[in-house]
Amino acid sequence: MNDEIAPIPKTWRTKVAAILREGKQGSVIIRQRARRDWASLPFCPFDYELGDALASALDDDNLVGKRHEMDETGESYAFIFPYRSVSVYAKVNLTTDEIVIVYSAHRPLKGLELL
Amino acid sequence: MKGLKERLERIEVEEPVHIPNLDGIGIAETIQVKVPAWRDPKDGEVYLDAEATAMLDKVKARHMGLLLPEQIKALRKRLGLTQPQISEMLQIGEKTWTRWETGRERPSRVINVLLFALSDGKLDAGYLHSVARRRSDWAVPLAERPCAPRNPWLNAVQEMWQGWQPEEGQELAQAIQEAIAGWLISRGKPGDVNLQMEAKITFMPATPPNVITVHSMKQAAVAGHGVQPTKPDALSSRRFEIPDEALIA
Repeated sequence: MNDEIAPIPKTWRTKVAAILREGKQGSVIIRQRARRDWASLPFCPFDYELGDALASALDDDNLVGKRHEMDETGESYAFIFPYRSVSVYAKVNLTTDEIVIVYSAHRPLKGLELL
Repeated sequence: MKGLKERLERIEVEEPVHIPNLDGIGIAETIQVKVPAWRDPKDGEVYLDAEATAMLDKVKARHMGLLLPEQIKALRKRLGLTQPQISEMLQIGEKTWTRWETGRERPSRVINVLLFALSDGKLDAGYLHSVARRRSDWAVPLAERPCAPRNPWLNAVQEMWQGWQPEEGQELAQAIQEAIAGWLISRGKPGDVNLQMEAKITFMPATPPNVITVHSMKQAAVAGHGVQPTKPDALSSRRFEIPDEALIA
């Protein structure tokens, strides 16, 4: 079931941001599609910037998102955040064994609406 | 059912690395790089981890001509500076420099040019220090700035160019002083700053009016008893050119 748009719980944001910032090997994985979308943004960002950008976005107490049920067990949210001069749509899962999976990181496809 | 970690299989994929153009808003070149990846046999999805993305970033940095983390660290060591010192000199956060040294972050192309100039010895660390100090000075309101007449360098400059407006003279003299001091400090050994400051400004009649020639006084520096009359060392002289627009007719 997909919930409506609402503020993303602080506990989830804090945990995911901490894992992203720590950057421990094996604790963060990025779907190939997401990595390619991110790398193709107009300013050609480095790959490391994605983790930092997501972590910074998650620091925002007012960040809203849409909960998604993914195949992988865990808690997933989609949200839109500004990075440099663009908006970025991201979908991130915090799995039950505390792995952060980045499923999406691209320009929003439907304006600023969360899919 | 197996968890994600147990399910994933090791594979190798070819990933595009886009090299930005100099404007930073377009792709100048795309390179294909082979990196290790993970495949989920359940749905065929491919994932990349930190090892792979670090490899991709390294290739990108190399193609952009950025200094590598080990080169950045070596540069700091060669300059004999600590991380806080070099961060202060470049007016950046200490964490930023640390991240450059570890490869966790990369310097911008602009900063990279500056680092190369430092690395190649084309830019004095002492001069950069003086610029950083001047930047701090600008943050101080004009009314709170140190009184100009106490500044011997200013006096010297004002003596040369009579008719300067005091405020403009003060700012320019301060800039000249810091440029000269930065150069002198960069020539000295750590701890010798005061001795190296015992230098002499020579206004050469033959040079254009907006040029100051400075000679360091080797003998004075060695003796440590202030400036003594000595023959200027031609090899240690340097000319500082002042922008024409700073002069008042």
